[in-house]
Amino acid sequence: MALLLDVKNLSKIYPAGSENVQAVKGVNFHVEEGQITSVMGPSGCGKSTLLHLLGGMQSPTAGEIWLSGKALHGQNDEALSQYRQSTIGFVFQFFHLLPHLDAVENTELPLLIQGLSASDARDKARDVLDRVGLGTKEKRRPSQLSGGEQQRVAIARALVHGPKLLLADEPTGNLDMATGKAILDLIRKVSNQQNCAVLMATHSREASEWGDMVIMMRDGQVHGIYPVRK
Amino acid sequence: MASTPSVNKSPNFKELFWRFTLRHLQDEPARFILTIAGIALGIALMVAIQLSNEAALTSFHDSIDAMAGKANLSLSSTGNSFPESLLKDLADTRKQGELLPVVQGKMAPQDYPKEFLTVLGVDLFKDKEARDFQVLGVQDKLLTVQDLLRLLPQPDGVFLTQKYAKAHSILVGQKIRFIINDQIQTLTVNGLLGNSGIGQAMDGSLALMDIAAAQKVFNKIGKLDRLDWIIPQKADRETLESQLQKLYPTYKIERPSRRGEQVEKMLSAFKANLLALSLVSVLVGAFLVYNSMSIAVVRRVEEIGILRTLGITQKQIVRWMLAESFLLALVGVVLGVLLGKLMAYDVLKVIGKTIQNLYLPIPLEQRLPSLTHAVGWILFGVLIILAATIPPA
Ligand SMILES: Nc1ncnc2c1ncn2[C@@H]1O[C@H](COP(=O)(O)OP(=O)(O)O)[C@@H](O)[C@H]1O
Ligand SMILES: [Mg+2]
Repeated sequence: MALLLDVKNLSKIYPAGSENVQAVKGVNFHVEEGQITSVMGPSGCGKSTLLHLLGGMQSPTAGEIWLSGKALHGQNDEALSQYRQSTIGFVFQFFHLLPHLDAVENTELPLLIQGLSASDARDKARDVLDRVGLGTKEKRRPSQLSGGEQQRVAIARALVHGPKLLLADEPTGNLDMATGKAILDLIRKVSNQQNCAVLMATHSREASEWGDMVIMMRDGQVHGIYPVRK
Repeated sequence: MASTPSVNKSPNFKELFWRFTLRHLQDEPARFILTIAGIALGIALMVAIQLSNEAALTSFHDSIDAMAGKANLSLSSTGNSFPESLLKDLADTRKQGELLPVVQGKMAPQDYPKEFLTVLGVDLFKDKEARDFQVLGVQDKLLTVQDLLRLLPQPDGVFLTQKYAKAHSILVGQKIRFIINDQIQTLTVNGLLGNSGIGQAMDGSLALMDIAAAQKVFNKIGKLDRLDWIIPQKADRETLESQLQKLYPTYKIERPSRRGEQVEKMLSAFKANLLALSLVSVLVGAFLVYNSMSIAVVRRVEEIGILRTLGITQKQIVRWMLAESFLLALVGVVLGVLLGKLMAYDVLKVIGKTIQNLYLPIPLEQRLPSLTHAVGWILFGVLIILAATIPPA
């Protein structure tokens, strides 16, 4: 397997009044292409911050992020946006669908942002919605969908443009156990189909054991990286 | 699935823009309607004020021109009447051109005590040379010289404008009671001034009398208010002008065409106030847009955040907000210009009244400029409103 993501000595300090918050402290790890990795740790240990750094939503205070051999640190907004458009998919705890758009319109957003024509985007979005099992509900707005269904739409949107890395921040945190498990299985199935690596933040041990690797975090630091025994 | 890291292709902005803007419009029409109404009102006020301002000044100018007629030099004693004997002293100047004595006064019909008429007492025959007017009799028949000669000796005859007569249902031959110098005098309407030249001046609030009758009615027997000359040669006029200035240093010697400029100077402060007022109304419109866009940005923080995670740049977000407010501004400004044109006549009345109260009688002729300026206003409005969008976006 080829190396996808290489993180070196990554740090993020938030200026917070007189005392700065060091949310991420000198983190090192790497992710192979198509690999599924959980980032496990208690609330406030820096998981979300780490995902934001990897998604180019925030700039690191120090350290390096390499993705497929390209540096992410020190890039401008233009380059980072381009990177998100082409290479990254996001899934969040609270789904973050656009309330004014229906399921298929939400799903095709990344494609329209990439510059695809409306009809090409619609075709691809329908395909992916079918694959997450929501083909019959493409005209529903988020408010007309259950939590699990909304998260399925979010997964479709995160994968529709064929990213190499899916960043999922507590994707089951707002769902009941059974639905959460179904969502994790879906993420694994769909990302495997398109050889997309997954980095999932979670504070639940059960959830963390669903992937290939677990990165243990505490107080902004990595405490250990283990393969998951199957 | 195509996982080609896309070459620097720009977003399908058109599709995204319409989708978001129309969907927001559908889901929260109140904000859009309020914003557009706000812009429209601000622009309408500005346009109405400007239009009526121009119209008031234009017709004011025309009145001055019509009343002065061809006269290109005049002498008056600042505000007071002067002895008729002056006319004899200056009889020699008739060699250079026409010399026309004028008595001027004000009166109001007893039935409409606030509707003042400016009365010009002139030599009706000679004055036809200088001022442009037609006198109409019963059933709007043009009066002949014989008719005028017959009417002349009547000491209580007056000629009103057709416009005024129509507005007050006055007929030729009717006797009307006027308030003149706090006394009531009855005058006979001997004829009407046709709707051209002097008949159009001062929005019709003008009357002509024979000079002798005017002297009697206004209690100015043996007195005059003004002498007007029509001097064809420019050199002659200039010579006469400087001679008069030397001979009568306490009198006002002026060219009637200058009178317009003077009054305009007087009115310029008033004009500036109106301009400021209209700018304020546009700023209010701009503030409404600023406000609306701030609300939009706040309400869409989450939406914008989501779009950012999907790879939209900061610049594209700003562009999107600008495009949306451009659309709002365009609709609002176009509506505003149309509305302003409708409102202009009412504003014109208010402005006319104010100028009348502050300075001097002014015609309320509705002669509004066309919409040729509209494009300029629209550009101006849209630019101001776009400028108001940039800070929140
Ligand atoms: N934007 C921010 N500004 C300041 N401090 C922040 C910000 N975001 C997160 N933090 C702080 O950084 C630490 C890590 O937060 P976070 O990455 O959200 O952890 P987690 O996702 O594991 O709960 C916490 O102490 C949090 O309060
Ligand atoms: Mg978190």
